[in-house]
Amino acid sequence: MKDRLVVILLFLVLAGTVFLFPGTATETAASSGDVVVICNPGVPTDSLSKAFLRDIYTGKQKVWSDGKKIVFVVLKRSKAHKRFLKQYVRKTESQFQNYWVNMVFSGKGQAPQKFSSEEKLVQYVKNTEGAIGYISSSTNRGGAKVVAVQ
Amino acid sequence: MKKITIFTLFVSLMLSGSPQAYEFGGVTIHGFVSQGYLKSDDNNYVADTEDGTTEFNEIGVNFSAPMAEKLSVGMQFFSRDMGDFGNNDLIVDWAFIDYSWEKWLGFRIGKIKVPYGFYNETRDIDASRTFILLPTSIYAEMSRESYSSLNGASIYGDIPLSMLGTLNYQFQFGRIDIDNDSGIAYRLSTAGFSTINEVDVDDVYVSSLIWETPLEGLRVGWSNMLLEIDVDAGINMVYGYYINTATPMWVVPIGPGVWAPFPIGVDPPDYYIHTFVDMDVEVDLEMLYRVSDLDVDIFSVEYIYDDLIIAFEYMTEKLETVILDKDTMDLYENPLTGEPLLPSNELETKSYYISASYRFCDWFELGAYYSVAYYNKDDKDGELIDPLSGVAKGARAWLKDDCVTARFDINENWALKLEHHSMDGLFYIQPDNDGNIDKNWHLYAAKLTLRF
Repeated sequence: MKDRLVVILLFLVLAGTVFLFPGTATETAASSGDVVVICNPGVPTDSLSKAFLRDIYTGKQKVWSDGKKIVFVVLKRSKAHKRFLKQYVRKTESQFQNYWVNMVFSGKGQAPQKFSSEEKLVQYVKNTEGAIGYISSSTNRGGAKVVAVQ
Repeated sequence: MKKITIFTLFVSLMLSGSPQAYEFGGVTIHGFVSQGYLKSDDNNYVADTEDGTTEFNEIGVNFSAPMAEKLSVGMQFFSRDMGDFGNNDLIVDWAFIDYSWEKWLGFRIGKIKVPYGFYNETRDIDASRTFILLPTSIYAEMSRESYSSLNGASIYGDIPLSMLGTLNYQFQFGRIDIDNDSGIAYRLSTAGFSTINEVDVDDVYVSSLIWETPLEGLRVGWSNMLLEIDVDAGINMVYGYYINTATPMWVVPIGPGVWAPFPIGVDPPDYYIHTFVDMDVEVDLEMLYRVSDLDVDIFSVEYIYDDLIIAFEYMTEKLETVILDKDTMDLYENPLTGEPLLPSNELETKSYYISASYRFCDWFELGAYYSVAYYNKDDKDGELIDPLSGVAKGARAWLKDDCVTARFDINENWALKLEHHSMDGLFYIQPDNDGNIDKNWHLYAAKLTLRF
């Protein structure tokens, strides 16, 4: 009975933590700045829906409208990464990582390539057919195409 | 030798820091290794846990390659040890060709993971969850190999439902290979079977529907599995009576000089209290133990709000068991009376759990669950008298598990977990090394895991 009380108490603490300390483990919008979504100039679109973007980053949407393969990439741990995931993929950093660990080890998908710097990501997207990524709004786009997300 | 190899590999990977995925000629290689420790204060849980055991590891390596825009191929080798199970034999965990025609329709052919509940497809991947041991009510260790993957084909996809969210579906058809030393054998041995010669599974049908609701973070699922299992088994039985009842019955050996009514059910201390008088009638029966119309339904709910994940799953298992004479395929007869030795038996189990986990920061996560499993949903207190043995299952009729876990992410690749289980009940639990068994017991687990 004492053990059960401990488990119930822990449940309550876990649930209460969310409402008492919202955003303790995730970046708030104000602190992380905006992100922009960039594509290879050859990608046949200038705008994407949020749902389409989310499908890309969860591995459900695999090709562009012209049939070319979508190559989606991510930043390593950073404010822009957390901000992008929260705003467009609706997952925390650890949830996104676990999602792709599960996809990879159950054979359902290939995890996105990770970049340690926004500049390297921009170069990769600019030079890779069908590539899509994201950067901080203040970062130089370097010839990659910015797409609007609606 | 296998254990030394895995230990060496584990230490090598530890010393290498944070290994990354590898790519050679378009083939991507990922892997994971984990090593755990289990200790119980009473009883033995799928291993010699009373003395503490390190026979608790998992290792997996997978290879995948895109063949075309919509076509890919991959396979994963897997090895695990958990006491009596796995023993680090190398198996192909999955290997299939995947053609994703459209978002709403795809096909897989080969050895495919079974979408049993929300977490069966990913249960081998310790790195992606909070808990060391998934709730045993739904994800019993003894069923793990049996329900892991099937050889066959599946169709799958996501159907958009406009304002109502998305419906994800998977339908599978195929066959399952079950080894003679798998968890099925373990389950039967706890009932008193002495030898398992062969386990044969007929066609398996699996259905899974997951509704991603319009409420952000909420998904609701239903999965179903239909199969039939034939077990070629043997039982060594002795006829006699306990002096307290003087009622003759068939018993099976459960230890040196210790006998229990078949099927084993009552709390074992009773076996020791009363002397058994052997009437010098002993038979070795070879039989076909048939589990027909095994129908497993799981209802699942998961809600994610920021760093909080709450899950609830409820399972019923309906089955009919019958013991047949291998030669005549008739019910096995009692050698003394000519009556059926065991009548056909219909059974419905009931299991559920609720869990919650919260990630406090990049490196720390806490989780807890309460899990309940009943052997027979109509006998939750274990008071139903078995018509053959004349005794009730007692505490073997249930297992209630209060679990608390702490997870520490050392870096992106390494994680350490510590877990405590407070158990009530003996459903599929083995006695300790002295033959004693205690209804209330504790299990402690620790695990270090790496993925790349």
